[in-house]
Amino acid sequence: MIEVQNVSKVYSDGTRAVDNVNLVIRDNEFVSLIGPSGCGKTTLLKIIDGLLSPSAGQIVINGYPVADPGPDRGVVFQDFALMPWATVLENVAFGLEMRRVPRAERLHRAREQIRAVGLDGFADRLPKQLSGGMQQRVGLARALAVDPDTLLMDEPFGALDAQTRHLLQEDLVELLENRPKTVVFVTHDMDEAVYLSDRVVIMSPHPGRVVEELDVDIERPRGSGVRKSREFVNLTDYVWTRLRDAVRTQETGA
Amino acid sequence: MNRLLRWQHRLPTLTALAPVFLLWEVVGRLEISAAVPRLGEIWDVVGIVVSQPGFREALVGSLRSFGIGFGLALLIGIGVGAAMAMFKPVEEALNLYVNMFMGAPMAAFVPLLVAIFGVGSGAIVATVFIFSVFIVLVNTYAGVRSASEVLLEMARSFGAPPTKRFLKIVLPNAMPLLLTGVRLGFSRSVSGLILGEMLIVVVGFGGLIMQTGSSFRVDQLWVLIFIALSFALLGSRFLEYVQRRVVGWASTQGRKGAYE
Amino acid sequence: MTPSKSGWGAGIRRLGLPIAFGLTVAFAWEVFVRTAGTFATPTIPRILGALVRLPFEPEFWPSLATTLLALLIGAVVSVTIGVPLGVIVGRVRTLERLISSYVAMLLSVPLSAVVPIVIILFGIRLTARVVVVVLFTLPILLSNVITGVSNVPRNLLEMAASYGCRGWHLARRVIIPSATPEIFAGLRLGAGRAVIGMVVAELIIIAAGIGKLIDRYSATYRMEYMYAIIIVILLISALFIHLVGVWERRVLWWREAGTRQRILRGRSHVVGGEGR
Repeated sequence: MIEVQNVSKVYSDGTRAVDNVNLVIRDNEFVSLIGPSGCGKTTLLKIIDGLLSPSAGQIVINGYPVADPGPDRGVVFQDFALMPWATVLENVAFGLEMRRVPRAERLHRAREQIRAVGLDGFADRLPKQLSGGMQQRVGLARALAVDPDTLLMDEPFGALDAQTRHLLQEDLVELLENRPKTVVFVTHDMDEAVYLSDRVVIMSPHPGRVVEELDVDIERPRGSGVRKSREFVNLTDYVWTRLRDAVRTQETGA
Repeated sequence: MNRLLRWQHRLPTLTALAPVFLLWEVVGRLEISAAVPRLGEIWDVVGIVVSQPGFREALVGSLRSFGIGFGLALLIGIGVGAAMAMFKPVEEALNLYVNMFMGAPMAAFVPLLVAIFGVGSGAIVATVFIFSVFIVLVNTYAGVRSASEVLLEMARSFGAPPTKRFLKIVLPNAMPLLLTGVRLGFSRSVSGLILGEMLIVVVGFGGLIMQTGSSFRVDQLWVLIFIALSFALLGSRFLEYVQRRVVGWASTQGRKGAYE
Repeated sequence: MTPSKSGWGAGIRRLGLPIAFGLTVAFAWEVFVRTAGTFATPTIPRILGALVRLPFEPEFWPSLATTLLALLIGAVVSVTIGVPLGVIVGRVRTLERLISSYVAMLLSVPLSAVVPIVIILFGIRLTARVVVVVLFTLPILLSNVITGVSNVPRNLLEMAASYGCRGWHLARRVIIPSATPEIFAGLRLGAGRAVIGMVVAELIIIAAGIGKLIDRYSATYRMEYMYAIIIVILLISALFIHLVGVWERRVLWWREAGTRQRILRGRSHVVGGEGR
């Protein structure tokens, strides 16, 4: 269980990127953080991973406060963050290499993950030889390879075209059916948030704070047909309305 | 497959030069200028040039000076360049001087170096050194600085300590520019070598060129010039090849180095 | 709190460190001169003294004049040949590939080796030195002009073609303006190379200019004057390149202007229109 306790992040020029956020994320729960730019969702994600330290408050995971990145959390980045000079295999094995896993074992585990994300046969390719969607699969495989309890995903499908995005969303859902994990998912796309999550946390900017938490009661497993269901449309409409208010508040400075 | 690629790589240089040689031969046969003899005449005197008493000594001396000078330039250029990129105080202290020397005509320092090191190979080593050290430094600096914040953050998220981050992220990323610096430095070092030796006259290959020049034996002069130019050209091409092999992953082909 | 990142602390450090480093080097030189130095390594005060007295040396101004003459004529010739030639070559695809490979070769090769040939052809008069300057300057200038011209954005060319713009008009209104930044880069780099060519010519063809002075001073053991002359050469180099830079900034003023506007606009937006 991840507890975000009174977390704030204030920068030296006074911007309150995150303002006194409290959040509880249960085991194997899929939580989306959604909101317009500047609402602090990415900052919060990085604080949970330990890449940034909060100005106030703390992150408590399973009872222990956490301040640094650890093997229990794996990050998937928006611009893939693949090392262009390394093969797919080397990229996926990177996390294991940093955790000092011996070579034979880490390559074996990396190959497993490559297969799991559907990139079998591409292990020796360079990132530049892959499409955007495939590169992000590599990013996902890399995060999965260290077998974390939690996946932290920072707008992972934002840089992809709509069709690839839908495909990867479905693949992610399917993957998590087989291997449940806690997921904190940052996005600005409400369709994506509702489709993937058990709970949607709506945030607003200036200062960055939580506006509302929404439970997504749509049954699992969720196939592609879910997107047309009434509950889905209602929920996404609702999220959009709340988001619009948040955006409007930002524009008028109220 | 690799052998085929190697030949194709060497051929472009030769095929590009073919028209030049053709034009040369035409000018030579028409005897347009005393400075452009027929290729045949040049070929004939190769033996004479190579077998003359000072030749081997000059060649070996030049290569030695070049090796030491360029080696030092690489060591210090890469070392200081990386240090400047990683430690702000170092950068702040040296930035001004690096910029000054980058734009300066290094040739002007040769009489100075001769004054300090005396008339001999010491001055040549120093000349070779200063001709290339700055460009190696600047390119290394640029390469180390170009480390992607995103990749560094990624590495941190997977638990990589600072040394690992340097070896696994900063260094591989810096290689393209670093190798470009080495390649450019090589060319500059050769220029420094030849110029330095020409000015001292009694030392090395450049000295040989000056001596032959003052004897007005144009055909022998061209043999020496051809050897010097070939060394520079082939060395440069070889380094390009090495660069392609080592950093083939760099997607931008023909990326220009700093001050190229 | 990060006290050393802004304000007085950083300013002092930014100025102090280079000064400290420079003084350390100067100090090391002085120590070297007094311990291992010879007549050929004068102390800094003596060099500075020579520098101050240099303008009063009889041979100084005529030598400087003839050297600068070679530099300027060589630069003008290089630009006159280089820019038009570069534009033509840049437009013709096959020519571009061919000439580019030659130019690339010329850039990586010790051109000094060819100077004896120049001497045989042109003697040791002004012409010879001008030729050497051109030899050093032309390749880099050509390289940049060709690159600039051959990289005119395709959509710009298509747009011009759709309005029937061709030939000389096309060159003047579309190609050259588009290539101007790259051309000026070539001019700036060319200026540096021109000075190198000038120095190489002077040092090898010890005829009438600064090269002769250097030779004279070292032969008569007035080494501090030789050092002073070299400092003058460095100053000329810096000045020449700087002047080209100034010219570049004036021609390319529009690049700066856009940036300034964006900064001004950005500032008012962040403050929320309150103004400061």
